[in-house]
Amino acid sequence: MSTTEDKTRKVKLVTSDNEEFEVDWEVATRSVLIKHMLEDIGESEEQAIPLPNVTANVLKKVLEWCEHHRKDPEPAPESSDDNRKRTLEIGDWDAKFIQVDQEMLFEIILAANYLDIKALLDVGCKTVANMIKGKQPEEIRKMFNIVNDFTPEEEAQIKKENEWAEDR
Amino acid sequence: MTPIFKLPSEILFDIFSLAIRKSRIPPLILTVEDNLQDCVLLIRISLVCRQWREVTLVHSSLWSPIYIHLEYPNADTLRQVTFFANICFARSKDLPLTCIISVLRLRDLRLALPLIQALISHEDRWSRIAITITPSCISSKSSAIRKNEESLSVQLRNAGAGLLKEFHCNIGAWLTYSLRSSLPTLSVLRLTGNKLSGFLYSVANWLPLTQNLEELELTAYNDRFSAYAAKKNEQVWKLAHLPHFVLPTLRTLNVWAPLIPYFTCPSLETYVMQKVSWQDQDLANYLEFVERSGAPPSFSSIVIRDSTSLSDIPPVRGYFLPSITELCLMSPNEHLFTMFSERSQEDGIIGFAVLPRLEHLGIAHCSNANFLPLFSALVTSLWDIGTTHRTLKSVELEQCFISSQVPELLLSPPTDGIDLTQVGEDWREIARCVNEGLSLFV
Repeated sequence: MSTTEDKTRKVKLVTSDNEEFEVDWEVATRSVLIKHMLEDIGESEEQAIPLPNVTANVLKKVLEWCEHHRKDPEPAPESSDDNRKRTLEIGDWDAKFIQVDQEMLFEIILAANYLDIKALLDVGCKTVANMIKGKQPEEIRKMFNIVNDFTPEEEAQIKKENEWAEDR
Repeated sequence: MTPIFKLPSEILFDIFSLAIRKSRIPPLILTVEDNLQDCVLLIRISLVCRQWREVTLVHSSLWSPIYIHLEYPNADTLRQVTFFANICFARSKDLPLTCIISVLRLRDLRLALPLIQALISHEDRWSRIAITITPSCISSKSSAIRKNEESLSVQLRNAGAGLLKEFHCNIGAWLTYSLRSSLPTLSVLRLTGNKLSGFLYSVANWLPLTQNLEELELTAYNDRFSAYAAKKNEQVWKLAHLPHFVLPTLRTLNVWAPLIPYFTCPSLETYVMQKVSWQDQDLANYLEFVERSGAPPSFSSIVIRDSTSLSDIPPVRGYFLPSITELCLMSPNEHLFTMFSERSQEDGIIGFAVLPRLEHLGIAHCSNANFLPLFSALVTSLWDIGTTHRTLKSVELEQCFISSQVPELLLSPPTDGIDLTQVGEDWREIARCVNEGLSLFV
């Protein structure tokens, strides 16, 4: 549990491209990874937290999300019930926040995964899931610039296996 | 690198899981209404590229559990659903299989045969299985599986053996059995039929293999397909001795009234009745059952699923043993509200004539707001018997009084009590009981 002292504390974060960010403890600890690292180093305020898997432009975006959600309650431990209740709905602010180019979208997802920010990861995954819904394989390939790497024989075989789905 | 290829497979799995279901209850849905889109989308995802195909095939949980809900399906729909179901079953690999099949208003039972056979071909992995198939109003007798169509019967050989936890089937007579392995994890068995011999044939195959059964439901419905496939087995059964089943671990029993003489349940907690029989013989059988089971001290709860036609006559009252402390009534009628309000006097002490020790009352599926005054009078009566003899502790409502719903104040009363002037007249008396300590839930 956080104390009043924690809430006024500043945290230094250093990105893979050596940019330093100073943020409020409450904002930084939306990341479970950073929270655990801060617990490990104790009261040492001067020590910067290295984040070798996140670049400055991505961290800036992630911190924008953390700042907006700084007062959100701590996520409950995952249970199968919570998982079952997940829907594809995204809040208005999050939907606007995540309107970025694909490269940034996937970088945010990767950063959220690395930094262990479940709610942000969820927003990113839902966004991609919504992009996929209702699309044909060719449309999905085109949207994400994916090369069809099946051989013609494999593709013919797979299509044959799934011919019923082609009619839907 | 294409940016999306940076995502590790566990994140792709999460994205695919989200994409294929509107919500995760139930996880993978095949319905006519949504045009099988969830399953089709999963198949489409598997066609995008090698990596995505691998993710869909490696994560077998994407393909299970499976819930199939169809209404008025035609032959073509059932063929397609069977095709998709086969894909799901195969790709769920060795996962314990949870499958709910609900095919409603089917024209001809034969049309469902391939789907059921597909499910049975994976019976080694059965964990939780529910099969409900009902006929449409235009289904004729010719749609039944007839005597000369025994080749259409479906046979269970091990029914999940050590994995099976729940089995529900409303076409019990369609199944034949050659079960040999014990079913140590089976805790819930629900079968629906309409013939005594058919039930006895089924339970004689199931029950000796169970050691930990907690809930047994054997209910009779006429709104079902006739299936004579098991008739030969039933006839063989009729020649054998009459069975008796002692179920030491059973806690909840719901059996068609003519079946009660065949059971002894020393650990019974809850006795469920679809309807309360008004016949003297059925009551006598029930009372003998309770006595034969040793009047289990744990037996404290009665549930009545359909009480719309229940009358207040002596054989009906006989089911409500004085030791019962918990009662759940679904679709209650006005007779019930008055019957449970009736007071009696013994040795100068005023009590209730029926269920004098009632602690927990549940009312469900009582949408008729005209019954609210009766409900209020019942609760007030049970509560106002006098604090020294009051036994009622809680009342739970489910889908009741839709047009006059329970005020939120009554469900979460303030610590200093509910201001009765803030509560509508319909609920005011109940609010007073809540102020005095009654717990009300929905």
